[in-house]
Amino acid sequence: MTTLRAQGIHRAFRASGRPVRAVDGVDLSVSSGEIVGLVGESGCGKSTLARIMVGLDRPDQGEVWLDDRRFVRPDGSVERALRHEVQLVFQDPHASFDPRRTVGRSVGMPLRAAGVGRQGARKRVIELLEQVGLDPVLADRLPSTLSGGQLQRAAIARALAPEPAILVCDEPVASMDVSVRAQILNLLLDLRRERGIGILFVSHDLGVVRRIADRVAVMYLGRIVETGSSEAVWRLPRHPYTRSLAASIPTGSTSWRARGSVPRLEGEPPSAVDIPSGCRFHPRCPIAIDRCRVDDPVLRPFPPDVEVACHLAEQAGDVA
Amino acid sequence: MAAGGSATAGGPTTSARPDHAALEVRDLRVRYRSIDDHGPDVLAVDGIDLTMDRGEVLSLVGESGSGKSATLLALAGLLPANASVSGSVRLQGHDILALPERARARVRGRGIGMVFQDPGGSLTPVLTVGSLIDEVLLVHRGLQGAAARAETEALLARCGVGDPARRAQAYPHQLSGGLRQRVAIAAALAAGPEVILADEPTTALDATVQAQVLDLLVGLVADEGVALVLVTHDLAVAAAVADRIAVMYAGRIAEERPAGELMERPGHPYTVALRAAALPFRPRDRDGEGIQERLPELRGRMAAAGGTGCSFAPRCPLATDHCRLVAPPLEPFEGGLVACWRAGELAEWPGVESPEVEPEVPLAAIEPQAVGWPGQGA
Ligand SMILES: Nc1ncnc2c1ncn2[C@@H]1O[C@H](COP(=O)(O)OP(=O)(O)OP(=O)(O)O)[C@@H](O)[C@H]1O
Ligand code: SF4
Ligand code: SF4
Ligand SMILES: [Mg+2]
Repeated sequence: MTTLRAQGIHRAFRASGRPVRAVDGVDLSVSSGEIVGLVGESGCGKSTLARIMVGLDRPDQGEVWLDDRRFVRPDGSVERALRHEVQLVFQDPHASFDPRRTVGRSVGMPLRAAGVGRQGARKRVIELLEQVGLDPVLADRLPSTLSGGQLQRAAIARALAPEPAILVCDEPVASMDVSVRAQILNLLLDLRRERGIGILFVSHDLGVVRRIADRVAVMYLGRIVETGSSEAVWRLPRHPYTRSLAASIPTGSTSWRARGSVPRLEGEPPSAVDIPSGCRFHPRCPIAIDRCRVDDPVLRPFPPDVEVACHLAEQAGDVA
Repeated sequence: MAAGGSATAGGPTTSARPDHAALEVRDLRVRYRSIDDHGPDVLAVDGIDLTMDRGEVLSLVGESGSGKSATLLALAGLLPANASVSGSVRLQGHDILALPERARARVRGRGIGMVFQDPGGSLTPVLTVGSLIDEVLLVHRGLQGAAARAETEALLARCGVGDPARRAQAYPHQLSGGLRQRVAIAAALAAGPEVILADEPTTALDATVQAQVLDLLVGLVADEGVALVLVTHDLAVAAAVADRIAVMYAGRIAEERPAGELMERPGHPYTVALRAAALPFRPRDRDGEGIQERLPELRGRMAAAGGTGCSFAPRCPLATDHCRLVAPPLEPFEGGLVACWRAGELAEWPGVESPEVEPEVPLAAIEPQAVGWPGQGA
């Protein structure tokens, strides 16, 4: 059992001379055998956080731990000996493969880099491709000859090559058709169940996260605003932002349209250049009170296992 | 206002309620010739019929490559040069495919508004969004100068663009994705069309913005009485906004029925699979205990259009030898049309009556309203 734990992560970029606080004080963990969904609108900082958690980007502040071993230090340096434990799968598989290298060679690269011989690597590549449900003959083909779904499986095989404890998947099914999407999600579910891999699943699509995550973390403008077991969060979303997200996913019900009176979240996802004072959600919040404009809410626990950053989080329970 | 310019046989077309449908498509076929002359031709649309009334939303749903976009592009006259079209498309009483080119462009320009997935793509980057809409108003409604600008601002306001006078001065790239899509919808409305064709208009948007834009489109249909054809790969989106859903498979319509009935009791095995894949909720065991370990999958790939037999047969759990030999015709079925030899038996098939996918949380429980949040201020 391994746990990847990010603590107190801050990360700012500069855009036209102004600081963009992409990740603004976040704790998040993923353990073996669980799928954690990190969900939020575009630009909320979820990909930046994901890259930091795999050691591909450095935080300005904060640390990342693997159990009791420090993986990313406060100065941003990464413990290379631990790198193989955490692997990243990107959204667009075509962009993440070298177009001139066969799929098999790309999948075997991490093994060769770790000193595995040519024969051994080849054998292992075949095993890995089979594990992700690909015909091993695809090993000798170029990436451009595979479909998006096939290549995403190959990308997962490549990520599995160093035998990581944790996979971080950044929008792995965003560009896929529903049928292919279900296959990739099932592959992740199988890896979790059969191999006990822990998965951080980053997505803007609450519907997809809803389908596979054991725990969810909802991110808004660089912060986690609500987190807890999927069950609990969906049974009673306490943060107004989580609620708005939930109410905006079409459910397949035809009454969605008739509910013209459902309050939609106004406005667009804001930019992290101008983070509002007090509660950063207050300009879009349908229930904001005066206090929200000045007082920044922190995550507070709600038993059994939920945490919510909202001054009015109790009231969701009172009236449900 | 219905601008039926040149009157057709059967009297004036400018009456308040023209007797023709907003859009009538018969036996539409689209074929792409292979560009390099080596590959085979692709039959993208293989004979489809559609009828739309004003104030109606029809959603075309299906997997990638099923011919949804080709259908829309054919209606809008935007197919690339290597495509050929046949069939008839009646718009405002004209069979536009039979009209000479200039007349066809005029009827289309006035009668059809088009909205794409990437709003950037349909908005000229070098024009401010105001001048872009002014232009449409000049060409199709003869409005100029201050009158045009006033109408442009009214259109933007109608489409939920706040501060329209200022936004009209902006270039498309200066606006967020959601605002650009609102502008694109305003531009599509400018000529006063009877039909709006929208190809995945919310696919690139965040969930909360998608909901806003869908609300806008549905509101326009109700208020302006336009007919909306909404193309989407997401059956849940279709169910949310459409009156009728047409499920496309390999260039044909597999099922076309009122949205509620199709979602509740699909008549085609492909619709059953799409529905299982589309719904956002986590599948549960039959007896409601514990969570299933896997999601419903539809294996294999869509067959090319134009083969023998039912094109869904290779992936269909109900396929028979007959299915593989003879393509099923589109026939009346419970309020609509279904192309499946076994549509009548589908009701007894496990997975149809009791969907594997069930919402665990009644949505009402998560609407701020239903939960009764306390009033604002305090
Ligand atoms: N310009 C083109 N030249 C040749 N073939 C094309 C062209 N555009 C589309 N096709 C082919 O036509 C068929 C139907 O494509 P279409 O774009 O209508 O599908 P779609 O249902 O809109 O799919 P998606 O969900 O991916 O947008 C496909 O086989 C596609 O490969
Ligand atoms: S703290 Fe206030 S503004 Fe923020 S989400 Fe809660 S109620 Fe809304
Ligand atoms: S006609 Fe046959 S193969 Fe086609 S969908 Fe119906 S049962 Fe399946
Ligand atoms: Mg398309």
